[in-house]
Amino acid sequence: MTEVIEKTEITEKAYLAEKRLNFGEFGKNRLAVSGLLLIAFLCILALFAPRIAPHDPLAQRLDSGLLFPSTEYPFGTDELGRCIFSRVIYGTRISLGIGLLVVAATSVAGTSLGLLSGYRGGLLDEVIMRVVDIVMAFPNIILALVIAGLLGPGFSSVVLALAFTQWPAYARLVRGQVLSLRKRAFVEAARALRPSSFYIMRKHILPNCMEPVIVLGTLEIAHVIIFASALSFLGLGIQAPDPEWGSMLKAGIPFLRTVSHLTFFPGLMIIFTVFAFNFAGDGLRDSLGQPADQEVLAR
Amino acid sequence: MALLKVEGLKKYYYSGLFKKEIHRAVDGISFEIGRGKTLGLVGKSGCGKSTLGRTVLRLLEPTAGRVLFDGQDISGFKGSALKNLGTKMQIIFQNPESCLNPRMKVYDAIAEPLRLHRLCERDEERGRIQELIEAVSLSEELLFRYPGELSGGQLQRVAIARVLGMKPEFIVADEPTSMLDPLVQAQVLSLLKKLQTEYGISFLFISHDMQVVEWMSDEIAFMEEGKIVGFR
Amino acid sequence: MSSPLLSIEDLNISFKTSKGIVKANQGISLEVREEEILGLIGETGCGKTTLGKAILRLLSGKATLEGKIVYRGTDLLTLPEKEMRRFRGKEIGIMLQNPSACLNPVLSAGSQIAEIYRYHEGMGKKEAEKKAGKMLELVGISSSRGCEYPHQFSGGMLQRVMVAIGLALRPGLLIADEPTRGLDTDTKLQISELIAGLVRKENSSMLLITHDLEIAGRLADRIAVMYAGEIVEIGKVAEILSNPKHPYTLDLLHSLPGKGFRTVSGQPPSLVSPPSGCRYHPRCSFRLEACSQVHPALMGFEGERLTRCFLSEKGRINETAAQPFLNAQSALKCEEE
Repeated sequence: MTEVIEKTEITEKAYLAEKRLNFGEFGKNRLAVSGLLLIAFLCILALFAPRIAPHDPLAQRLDSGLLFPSTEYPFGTDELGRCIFSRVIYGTRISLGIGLLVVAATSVAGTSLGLLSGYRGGLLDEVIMRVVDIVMAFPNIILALVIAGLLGPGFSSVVLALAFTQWPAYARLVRGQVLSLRKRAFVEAARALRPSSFYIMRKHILPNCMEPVIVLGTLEIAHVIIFASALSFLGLGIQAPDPEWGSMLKAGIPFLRTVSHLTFFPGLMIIFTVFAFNFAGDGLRDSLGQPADQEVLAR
Repeated sequence: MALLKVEGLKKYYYSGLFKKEIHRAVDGISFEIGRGKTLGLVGKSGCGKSTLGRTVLRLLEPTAGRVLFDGQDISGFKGSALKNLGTKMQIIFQNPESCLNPRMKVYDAIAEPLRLHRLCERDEERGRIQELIEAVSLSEELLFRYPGELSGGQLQRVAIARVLGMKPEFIVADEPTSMLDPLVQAQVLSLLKKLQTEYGISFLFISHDMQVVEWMSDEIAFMEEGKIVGFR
Repeated sequence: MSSPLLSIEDLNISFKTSKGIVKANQGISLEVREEEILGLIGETGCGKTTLGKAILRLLSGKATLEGKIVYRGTDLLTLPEKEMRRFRGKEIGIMLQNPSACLNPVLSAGSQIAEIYRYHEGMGKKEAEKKAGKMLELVGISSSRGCEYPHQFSGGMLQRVMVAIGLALRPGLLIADEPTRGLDTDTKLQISELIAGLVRKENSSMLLITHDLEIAGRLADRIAVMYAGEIVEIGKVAEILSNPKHPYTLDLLHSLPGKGFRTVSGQPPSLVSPPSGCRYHPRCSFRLEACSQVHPALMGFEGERLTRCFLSEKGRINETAAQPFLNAQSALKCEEE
């Protein structure tokens, strides 16, 4: 709200003090912090890929195919002579891009539907929740495969396929939160002011159910990146020559016995990325709902 | 004429398939509250007194019966009429720890009704809030804190200041002090009394504590299982 | 005079928090005697629950404890954790606040009591359940309700279950933390009388932690009043209620509904940076000059009475006879004297 920002008396410090994600607790968790650092590192790779990568990831040099790692090609080259190091770095852009895009889309959509479902209740709630049940009843990867298969391979179909399978988790989570928040006195007090239901959802309910959504989102990024790689690996995702880790793995399979660096480095990147988001997400989840001075509050 | 007149108010809950069981939370209640008067409502927990308070305000829709506020039947109110009613009829809750949004600063919590109902110009807001927290004798430094940093008594004062900003004519006080320590209870109760004489507010004061109700009220209604069994 | 069952000597408890060190308990010295009910009175946040939990060493690792807590000759603070576990429940029972949060929602009430017998006394399942049923009968719940789950009980009934759990092993001392909070008036009286009755019947002792002076006055033999982490007054119930020596106790009494709701301005101080001198001086209506500078010690006064106030030395009662808002009882006393 703009009027909140306009008030000069509000100090930033106080705003930060009440974040219920307890960052002090988070900071003590070494795995979580290292996950966060790794994410920061990956973000830098993605943002500055053109500066960091020594070669054009798409440039083929057939005379220097399947080279082992060297100073010029730190991770070696593939069968078409493309620099694997550069391709892995550019691959960060695609994987993080898909992860962020899918999580952004699904969290917004899932949260809004969960809010509506929980706050309005009744028939709307029934309909939304049954749809959620139906989508969740299918194994995610199979559903994504079907959708990606129907839409044809490519970046947008990966995003759509994954988004379609992932939103129900947010809707369920948020609905549960809303149901418990709705009974709290401050929501009733807000209702006594007789604003629109949209206002109550936006001002009073949404801000109080954001933390679990953030945690879920962080963990989901890891999920989504694995799924996207799997789709690409199966040939339904990002297509060659675009440097996606999953499709790089697939392209490296025929050479697995002889020149394993083709599959080793993309595989390593997938593992690192997934670990990073999982650790950070776990750390966030553990720090959630732990008031800093529990003892003092309980007194 | 009475400010608030309740006639045959009922709130039933149906449970079980085929509406087998009916829970009569409020079962045909009638009473009147005059301007600037307090009706105390005493009853055991679970007798429906909180439901009654909410039904009177139409936070819960009544199953049957009428609520006349200032001579008008509020049960048909919609849109702006209902919104307007929000400033005139208000409620204070029992549990101070949950009656304020934990994500809203005290300042914003008090300012919210003013903004929502455009009760004052933007540049007057600060001054108005200053008046309000002085009226409930809270110190200014608390304005930019979050509810989690305040004590129960302070929170209840903030809740009162917030409601007071709308200059309500009628307040349902739902056990406002039952969770507070005796010293703080005494502070909050005398604050409510002081505000009542200053602003001429009518109260429906719900409590299970006979002594508190006796001290607060002009008239006392006793409630048992959804019905009023006696007045005093 | 009976010998002490539990004696706490110069106990200090502090917590490290982001806002500084919270001194929750400072220099607490108390004793609970055999077959005695001691009421510990104080407002929310004065440190009384911390004290109750400290006796059983139930505080988290963030707490630092100094001093001695001696139960029948054993210093509980130096005991290894393994032996401490034997004390909990068996020697000292505890009823924590908020029963709905303390009971396991997926276990029936009866089985939660039976669990205690199985764990502590190694009883078989059948035997333990039979005993649990008896315990429930004792607190006024028919044993057939033992198979019901916590959400099926009302607040008062849950509190009865808590009593049963607290007393299951017939401990020598029961620590009851706010057993009547959030209950309505009738239930409050029933529950408090039930607890006290059972404790007396078993010849046990009880530390009754509450903010409710009326309940404490009804049940306790002696009362200790706590303010901002310190004991400010200890004495026999009748003496404290009829003739409070500490201004805080006096104000507490006056704030009761039956005694005119006289209000005291101000808030209890923060335990991170308590006021200098007497902790109550900013709110005290009998404040002397020295009060803001010198911290008064807990001083003996007429036998067993202890008060942490300078005025008690000079005999405040006479001095304040002129004060217009003195309660009727103490005014009468003054005339008699």
